[in-house]
Parts: sequence; C-alpha cells; structure tokens
Amino acid sequence: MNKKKFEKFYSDNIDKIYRFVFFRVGGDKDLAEDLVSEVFMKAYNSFAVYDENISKSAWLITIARNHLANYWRDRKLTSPLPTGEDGEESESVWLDSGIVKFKQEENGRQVYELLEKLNPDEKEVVTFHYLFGYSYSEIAQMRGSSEGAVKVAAHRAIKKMRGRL
Amino acid sequence: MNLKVRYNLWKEQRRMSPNFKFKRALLARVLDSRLRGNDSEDWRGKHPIRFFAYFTHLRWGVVMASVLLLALLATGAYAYNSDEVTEGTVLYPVKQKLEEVEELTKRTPEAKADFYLKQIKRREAEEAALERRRARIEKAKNRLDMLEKNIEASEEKAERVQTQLEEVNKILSGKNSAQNKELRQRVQAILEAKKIKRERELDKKVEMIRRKAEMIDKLYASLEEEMEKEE
Repeated sequence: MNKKKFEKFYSDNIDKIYRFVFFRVGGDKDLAEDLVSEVFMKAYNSFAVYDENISKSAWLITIARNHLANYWRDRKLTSPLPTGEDGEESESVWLDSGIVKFKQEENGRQVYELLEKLNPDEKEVVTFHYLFGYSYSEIAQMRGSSEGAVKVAAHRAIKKMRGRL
Repeated sequence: MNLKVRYNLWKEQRRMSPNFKFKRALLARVLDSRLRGNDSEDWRGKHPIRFFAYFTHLRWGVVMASVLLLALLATGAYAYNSDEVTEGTVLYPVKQKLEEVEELTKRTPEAKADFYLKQIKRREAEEAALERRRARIEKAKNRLDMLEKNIEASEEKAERVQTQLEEVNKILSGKNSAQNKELRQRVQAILEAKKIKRERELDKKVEMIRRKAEMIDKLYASLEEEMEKEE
C-alpha cells in the first residue's frame, strides 16, 4: 500500500530530519517543529518522484536544506541571520556555528568542545552519524563519496576525540 | 571512543529528538491533507487513492455506524424469521411491525390471501414454540421442587447429626457435669440392684442350708431316740 510506503518513509526519517533542523535552528523546538512539518508536507506532495533505490535520505535532506534556505532568506528582510545561514558560505559554516551555539549550553558541553577540535570533514561525519543518526551509507550518498571513505573519516575523528579526553 | 563520550553523544541525540506526540500528530496531519486533495496530479498517478481510503478518513464514526446498522439489520431479520420470537419476548413488537409493513405491500387479493395463510402458519409455529417452552418450564419447575425437597431432607439430617454430636460432646467434656452425675447414679443404682439381688440369692442359699441342717438335726434326733429305745 502506498500510504504504508509513505508511513515507512516517514518513520525512517522523521527523527533524523528533526535533529538536523533542530541543530540548524539553534535548538528552538517550536521553530524546528514548524519547519519539519513543512518539510514533510513538501515531501508528501512530491512523493511521486521519490525512489528509494536512488537516494535513501539525500532527497529529503535536500528538501530540508532548500526549505531552511528559503526560511532564512525570508527572515533576512526583518532580522539578522545566524552565521552560516545566509546561503553564501559553505554548509560547514552552519555546522560550526551550531556547535558553538550548543557549546554554550550546560548540557553536553564536553561533546561540542570535542567536536570543535575536528576538521570540517570529520565534524560533518560525526555530527551526521552520532548526533543526527544517519548511517554511514546514507552519509556517503549525501556527500557523493563511498561508504569506506566515510568510515575512515569517522574512525579518524573518533581517535582524535579519544586522544583529547 | 570511550564510553563517556559515546554516552554524551547519545544523550545529545536524545535531547534533539522529537517527542512521540509530535510525530504522531504530524503524520496524521500530513496524511489528512492528502485526502482533502492537497496533492499533485503526479502523486495521484503514481500513488492512486484506494476507494476505501476516503472512508478511513472518517474512521471510527463510519465503522461504528456500519456495525450498528449491521446489528440492527441482523436483529430485524432474526425477529422476523424466527419461530422462537413469540408474544412476551422482547423482539415480538419488531416482528409485528415488520409484518404490518409486509401487509401494506400486498395489493392484490391473491397476494393478501397468501400473506394471511403465511401468517396462520407462523402463528401455529409460534404456538408450538410456546408449548415447547411451557414444557421446558414445567420440567425445570419439577426439578426445582425435587431439589428443594432434597435440600430440606439434607438439612434435617444435618440437624439430627448436629444434635447427636452435641450430646456426645457434652458426655465427653466435663467430669463434674450433671449428666455425668446422672450416669454415675444410674450405674450406682444398677450396681446396688445387683448387690441386693446377690444378697437375696445368698440369703436363699443360707436358708436352704439351714433347713437342710435342721432336717439333718431332726433325723439325728430321731435316730438317737430309736437307739435309746433299743437299749
């Protein structure tokens, strides 16, 4: 059943996309919920073009990124944007700014301090895998690289983090 | 990665996770928007709506109404066709109403005649059902009477046993009780009577011996006399 297919897609991705958006909006729960709802509405309406064999999660991440970019663009007219959200710099910048923001909070400070010390590649892999919950194969698909390369990057990051404790 | 870092990462992941209520509500809202037609032609083409999907939108209301309707229809059919539905049962008025409606649908005299014939047969069948029911009730009443009698007899037996048990308990318990005294007196009386009887027997024997002794004395005395005479 097609409804079931969407429900399965939804249950596979809701947690990951929510965490991704939550991180991007600096931990604002209400905003994250609104944005995630809109992302899934868009996904639902374009579900015809989704092909699991081509992309497991990359398709939805792309929708989320575009939606966030639109959101920040609309907000630009009324208020300053957080670092990395003006769309002109690379996406690693929003990752850095998110880590800095969460580091200021009491909870999990040590985690973000360790993440800050990593290079952009490792930061992305560790954040996507350990914080957002994406698998290595999904991350590889999103980055356009091989699963092996992603695992190697993750392994190096882990070693670095362990060494810094 | 050491356990502490792994644990902290896991905690952060949990903190960033959506709650179950939000997830469920969002899914329902997204699917709901589908049935209201907020979708593109492409979607409908690749994922056509099934007929019953419209009804699942109404969900419980439709299901309950359908179940109720089915139940009513089934009850009506049973009331109309069953011979066991007779005067005095709950469904009899339903049967009567349905028959009235059926009567109204008969227009020609032949149809009416058939209908009344059918009515007669139904009444006969109902009477037979009533008769069977009466016989069952009668049988049940008899059984009940028998049971009551058995219970009364058992109760009387139980009372008798209870009384006997109480008497035995009274005898067994208490050495200085009045009944024990009475028993002892009875035993004493019996013993006295036996003693008296024994004494009487002994007296009789003594009397007999005395008489015998007297007889012997008399004989001896007579013998002595004879001996003196001879001398």
